[in-house]
Amino acid sequence: MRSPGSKSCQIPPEEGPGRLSRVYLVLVLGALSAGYGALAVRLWCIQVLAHQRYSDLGREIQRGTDRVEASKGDIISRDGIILARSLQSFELGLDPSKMSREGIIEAVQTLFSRLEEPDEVRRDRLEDALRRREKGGRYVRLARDLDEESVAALKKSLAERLSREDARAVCCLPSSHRVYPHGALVSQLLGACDVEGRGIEGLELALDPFLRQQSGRRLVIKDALQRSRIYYPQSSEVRPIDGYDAALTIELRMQRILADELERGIDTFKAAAGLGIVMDCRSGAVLAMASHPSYDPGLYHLYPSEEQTERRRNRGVESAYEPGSVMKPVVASMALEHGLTRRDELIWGGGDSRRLGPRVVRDVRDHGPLTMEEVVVYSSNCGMSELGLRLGRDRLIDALERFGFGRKTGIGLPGERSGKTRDREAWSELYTSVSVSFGYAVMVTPIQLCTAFCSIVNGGYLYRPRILAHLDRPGERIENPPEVVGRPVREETSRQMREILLRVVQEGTGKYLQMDGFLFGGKSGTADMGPLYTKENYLASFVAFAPYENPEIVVLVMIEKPKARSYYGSTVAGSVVASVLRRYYRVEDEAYIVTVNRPS
Amino acid sequence: MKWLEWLEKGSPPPPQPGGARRGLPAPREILLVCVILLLTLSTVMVFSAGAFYWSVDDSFFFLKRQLLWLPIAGLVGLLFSLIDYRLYRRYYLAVLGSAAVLLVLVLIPQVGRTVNHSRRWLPLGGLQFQPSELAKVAVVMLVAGFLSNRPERMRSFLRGFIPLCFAVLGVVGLILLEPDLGTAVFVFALAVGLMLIAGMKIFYLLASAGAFVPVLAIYLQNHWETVERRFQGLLDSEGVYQIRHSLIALGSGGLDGVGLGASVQKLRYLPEAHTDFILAVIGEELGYLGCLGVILLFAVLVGSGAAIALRAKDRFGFLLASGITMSIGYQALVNIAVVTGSAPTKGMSLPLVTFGGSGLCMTLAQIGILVSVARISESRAASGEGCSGEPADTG
Repeated sequence: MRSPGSKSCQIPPEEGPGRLSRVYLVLVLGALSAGYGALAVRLWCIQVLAHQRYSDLGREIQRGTDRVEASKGDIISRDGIILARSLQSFELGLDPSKMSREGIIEAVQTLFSRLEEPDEVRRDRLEDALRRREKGGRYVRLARDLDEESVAALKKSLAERLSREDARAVCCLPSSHRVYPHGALVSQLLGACDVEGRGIEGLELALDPFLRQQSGRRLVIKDALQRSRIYYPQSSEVRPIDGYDAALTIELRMQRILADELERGIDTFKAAAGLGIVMDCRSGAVLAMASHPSYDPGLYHLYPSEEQTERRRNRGVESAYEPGSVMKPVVASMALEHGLTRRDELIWGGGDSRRLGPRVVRDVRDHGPLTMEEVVVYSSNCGMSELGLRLGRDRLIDALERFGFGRKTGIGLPGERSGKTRDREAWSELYTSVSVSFGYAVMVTPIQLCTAFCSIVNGGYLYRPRILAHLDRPGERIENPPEVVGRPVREETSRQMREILLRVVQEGTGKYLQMDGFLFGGKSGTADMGPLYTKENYLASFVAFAPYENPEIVVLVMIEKPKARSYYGSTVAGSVVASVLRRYYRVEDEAYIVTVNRPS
Repeated sequence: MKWLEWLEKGSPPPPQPGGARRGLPAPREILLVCVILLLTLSTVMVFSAGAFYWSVDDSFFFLKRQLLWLPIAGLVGLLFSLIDYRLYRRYYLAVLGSAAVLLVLVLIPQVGRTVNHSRRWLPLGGLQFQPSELAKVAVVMLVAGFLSNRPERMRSFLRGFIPLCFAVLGVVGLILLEPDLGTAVFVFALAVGLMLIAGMKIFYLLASAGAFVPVLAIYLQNHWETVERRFQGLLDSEGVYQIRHSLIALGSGGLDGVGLGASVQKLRYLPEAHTDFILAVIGEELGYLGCLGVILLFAVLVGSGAAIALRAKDRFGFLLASGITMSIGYQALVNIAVVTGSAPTKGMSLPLVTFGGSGLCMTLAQIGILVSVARISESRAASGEGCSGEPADTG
């Protein structure tokens, strides 16, 4: 690589650097080194001497706290199926003050073209966004409950269509939404949450203090855009607390059977509404509670607004009725309890009506002379009026009180009504005692009736009805144990009542409901719903306990205003109860097995 | 004293051909070790500092580019180390000319890319190039070449000083038009320093300083606000955003740093964390010891550059090596001074450490030239070829 000598001859003779040059170079570079030294000292001052000061300054700028989200508790059925759960989701919104008018329009159009929402919603959102832009608003929510993938897709398509500035004003916030996998089946029981996730109705409202989570806080290091970048794993943080998971006593299988059969019964008899309750008579646990008409939480906004309140009503606790004949076991058991009669005492001499002063009590037809037992079996109002008169005001008031009528049961559902019993002062022997004996002049809620019937068949124990089994959190469980709140009748009375109620199904009003190889007892009721008792609107009820040998469950079905085929409680509500029992106990399955196994 | 002797005679005793090396390794070897250490540190720190840069999603964006550029820049450096530096003695005008053309090009709005109100960047395909980087080398070559080809020019005001001054001021003026006051002053000072070393009469230099006063005055009048802001920053260094965060970064580093990769100020607080302010990130992550290491490496680099210059057998090689050493050394000094809040802010990178492909190529080209000077003077010393002006070896 060296230049050839011939070429180097062309350029002037080479000359080494002079002494002065060398000295100058050393001076110049010496100055440079001195500069380096000075900077090293300066750095020492900044980094070592002022270390604490700058660290503090930095920390002040960089540190922040972040929320740590906890999750809201699930609601789970007794058989372990999730009925309500909060899912992490995202909401997409924009800051209208930072966007052009065209940008907002484009953003809303793009978004809704992918969301498949109705046009009105899109128009509303657009108007809302434009209006807020005029007013200087900073946030308009465009869509909620989006999962991560759809958020990414939406953001991408927005980024393609919007200008850089406009796209920057679109933001995505984490949120959560509540899903109800078995929506329509348990909608009235569970109720609903508002946008913020607070329970506003049903169990969501009742259990909100327990389901509710408490978000925590932790110290973080934020970057210059105030976004968290680094966590202090060991830092003093407020721990996030998840909400309790609530386990209900509801058995989803039972709930499904009850809801199905109730709806079928209402359709068959062209009824207006109806409800059903299944309760474990050994503990007061509500196994199923259905009310019709119902709603699907996902389609709620599609129902006409005048229907919405009616559909939301959980009739099992929020409605009170004059129940009619289904009350008779209550009065009858109390007459037995007080020893005012015996099962085989002849208390009605026959005839289809009984005159009591100015009042006439009528039966459906003349059953002939009836013992006390037969009065219940054939549901004779005339015979019952005799029991009512024998009990009298004080014992009847005491009876209603002991069975829990006229006060809330404490099931823990919001909106529960207490029903109504006649005040002592307004009670007239002839009218009230007689009416109460066959289920009028008293307003009861279905849950009260069901609870009272449980105590009649379970040996006399009045349980507080429960729908919450327990609350769970890792390492922690709050039980909601069965609770006996009263003992209205003795074991002996209960046994006699079970036998009487079995006869109702075997030969009385419910004899068409019998099943081969499966014994159950019950009582029907057909009440005129009033208010003018014009014999137009009936309340058809049936309450049953099963199995007879070892009562496990009590099923109550009440159907309002049946308009086709029949209006009798034994037919309309009784068929629903029978279907529920048949399906729940797989009665026909058993019969089949018995048949094939029988040696022939 | 031995080093005074070397200063007198121009070179240390030549290494014994074939014999075992004695004492220190050759300066160019020390130089290369420094360069390699700085580049290694640079690669790690560019990755660390650039991983959170705001405009890129890919954390490896800058690391990938750095790794792509390193071999390219290495090849450029190798190429320049193989080229005989005496070639530039004849072609320095061509280099100066091309630098001037690029400096003019960058001023054309359709060509030059504007960053922070200054047209400093020339897009070159997908890459960018700062013509003022080339201008620094070109001015060094100009002064070295012009003054060593005809040494008598140094003593002539009209035939020596004036043309040289005009050429230098032309380049400086073009840089000022971008506008880039920092680099303009730097190039001017570099030229003046090199003239001083070359032996230009100090009187001329003082006169030139006088001539520069009106130019400076006009510039200051036009850009007063910028200048004022920068000097205010010097007085109240924590009032300026970049400097405040640079100081916070350095200060939180302490003696041994918060740990590699753990800098917080690089999280978008420090602007240009991977370029001009990379030392702040080094200071935060590696602490005072890291910064001191960088300064020491530059000091050793400058020392070995000086040794190469002093051992050069010809005036041109001496001046070229001196100019390049000064250029790199002082640029590092200015950058560190800015980062520590000791000098007004200006876009001056830390050579070899800052991220930037074309800058890296330019710096390694200069290192290559230094190596070329060292290599040729060594081989000439070994072959006993002396300089015509002085006896080669007095023994």
